[in-house]
Amino acid sequence: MKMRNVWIVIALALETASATAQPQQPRPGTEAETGTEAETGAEAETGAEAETGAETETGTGTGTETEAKSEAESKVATETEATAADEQAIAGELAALEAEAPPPPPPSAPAGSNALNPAISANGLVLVGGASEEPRREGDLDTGIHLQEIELRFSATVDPYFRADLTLAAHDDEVGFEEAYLSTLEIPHLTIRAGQIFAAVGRHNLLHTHAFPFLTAPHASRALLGPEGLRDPGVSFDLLVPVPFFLELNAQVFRGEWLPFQGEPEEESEAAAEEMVEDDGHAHEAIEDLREDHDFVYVGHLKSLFELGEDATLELGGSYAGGRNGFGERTDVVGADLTVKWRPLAAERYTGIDWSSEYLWVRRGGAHEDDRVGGAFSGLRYQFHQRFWVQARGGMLGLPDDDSPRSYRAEGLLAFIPSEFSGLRLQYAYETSEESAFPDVHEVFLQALFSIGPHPPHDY
Amino acid sequence: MGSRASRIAHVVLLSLGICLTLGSVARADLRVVTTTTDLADLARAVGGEHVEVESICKGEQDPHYVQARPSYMVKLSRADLLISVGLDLEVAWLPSLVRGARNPAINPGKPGHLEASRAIKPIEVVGGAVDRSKGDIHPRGNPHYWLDPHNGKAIARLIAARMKQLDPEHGADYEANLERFIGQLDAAIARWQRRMAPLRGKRVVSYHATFNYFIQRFGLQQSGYVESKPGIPPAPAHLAQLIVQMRKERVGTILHEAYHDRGASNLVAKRSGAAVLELPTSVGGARGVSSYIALIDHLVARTARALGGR
Repeated sequence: MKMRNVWIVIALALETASATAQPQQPRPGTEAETGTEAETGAEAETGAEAETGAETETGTGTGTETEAKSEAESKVATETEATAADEQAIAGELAALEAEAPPPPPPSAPAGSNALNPAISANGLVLVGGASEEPRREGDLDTGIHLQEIELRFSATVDPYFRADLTLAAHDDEVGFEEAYLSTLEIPHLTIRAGQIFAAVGRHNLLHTHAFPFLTAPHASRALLGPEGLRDPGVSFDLLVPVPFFLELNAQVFRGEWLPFQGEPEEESEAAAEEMVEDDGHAHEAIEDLREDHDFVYVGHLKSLFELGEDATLELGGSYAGGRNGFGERTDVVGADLTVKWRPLAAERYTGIDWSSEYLWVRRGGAHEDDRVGGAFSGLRYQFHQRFWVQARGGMLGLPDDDSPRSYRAEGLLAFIPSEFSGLRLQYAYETSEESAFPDVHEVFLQALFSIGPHPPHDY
Repeated sequence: MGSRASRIAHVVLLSLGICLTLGSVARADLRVVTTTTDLADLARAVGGEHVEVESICKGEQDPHYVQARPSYMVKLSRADLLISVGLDLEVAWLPSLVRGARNPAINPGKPGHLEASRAIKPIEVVGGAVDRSKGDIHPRGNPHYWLDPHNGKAIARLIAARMKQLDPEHGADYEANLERFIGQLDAAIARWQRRMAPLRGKRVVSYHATFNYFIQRFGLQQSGYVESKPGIPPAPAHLAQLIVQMRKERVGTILHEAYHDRGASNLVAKRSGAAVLELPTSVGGARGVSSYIALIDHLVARTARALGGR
């Protein structure tokens, strides 16, 4: 009886699958394929059978066959029927399983209750140094020893359809989620993320603190977007546009409790945007807020990347964020960025040059006579040894020419990286402002950084 | 009105169907992306005319240390099958590329995501408690297994089985291509064994643990490494110790991967009286190394020449 043979083959396939799956317990962080694959393989079989099975059953269903069927059903509950095509597919499965090495590799960690835990990693940043002046705005470095940040990351696939990434950051006395979101895995070309996410405005705003190229975010972006950058609960649609080069479109919606969307305290309305930040801490009560709960901030971001030969890439980005602000009028945030990277393929570990520039512009409707402020920064990194690189960055606030006073900041950094998991970075910064009230600032800081847990990704 | 609407719907559906059919006719039966050029060559050998194969790494590149360029996501977004080396070789860059590709067919656990390491038995699996004081270790075993030609056979078999599973229509062709390739490889292995047989037991030092499978297959002996620990650049004390050991054991050859800095290897060679043998580790890593068999040919010929001279 052909039918019976088919069921034996199925049972055998399932048995082989579970036998292969058992000794190699899936571990988060590694891709223990054997287990999951055997499962999905079996699923695919049942699916195909359910579709094609019904036709053949009505055509050829005889007494003996239904007997065979009920017998088999007790073994494999969800099965219905099988066809010759399935037999071929199963033979393929079996061949695929047999092609694997006979003794499965020993599991790298003792399996057990830890087997399904998420991948956990931690980053730490410790700062020592001094500045010639008291901090002017939130996020400025202060003389002394600081635990700049401890970041805990948890990530795991939730089920076959979703993945979750949580990044918990602690600095000073505050603990909060830097990012915490759910993302889809099964939609072609598109990832939908929901949760606490970074707004895709410019390039630097998407970086976690431990990945900042310098010790702090650029002063222009801190003044324009706020000391924490733009991140909030929201939903993000990230589309990889199906064209021959890299083109990504992000469409995002946020609650948007951000500096550019806040109102201003009445008595401070003459102040420039950067002073706003300084006053942020103690002037909250005075802020008149006309934003309603249903006012959202909408963000659009387009990023493209082109290969310039084998060793270099050019990345261009443009972003816009808009929504109703605390004055009841519209705020527009516009960003543009350009990054060129040169990494000779045969010596990526030893040398490379990155050059990244960004321009940000904010218009807050309703602020005194339409408050428009722009800022820009440009940074260069040159790696000259497996363990060393130097960096320089210049930035200015008050672009294009407008009434608000300009300020400039220059930073130089030397990094020593013993391994991919630790580093020491020494930074000197100089800041000067056209405002006479603010004297020039000199800063020297040393930062120690570490990463424990799974291998940190080589983000581009 | 209703019939007109349904006619329009028919036309639209029909033209959509034609477009889809044309689209699928125009492309290869299987689009394969591999992480390394070696896997790409094996996939081409097995897939023949039915596959279109692209590799993310270039032959002269260090596969540990690849930048996760978004342009690679574009390649992966169109793939039917992703073949990786596995054993955490690509752990720093492949997962983010796979996520960025937004291609459910190649997500981990899917038939379109094949870790070639499943075909082989890894060596140097680190059991028990592991931590990074030992350097950037691979707890699941040494991932440079493709340099043992017997493993090459096993990988080709695994790839053929997976191609058959994904494209059953051309299963017989994959089978035939595999048989032909295995025949070629077996003949070459016999040749390599003959060439390497007189060198059994000869000692070598290498920069990183890249050649261990090759060394083991041909009965050579690994005396030590130039780098202090995996991924950690050599420290002077370690090099001094290595030089003393090499003099004592009369090690005359340092196998050096072309993508690693030569400074330390040159220094050790000079002080110990050994010679540095710079070798490709992947297809395309040196001139003339255009296929998997040519790669092993090249390694055997150059190693035999270097070791045989002493």
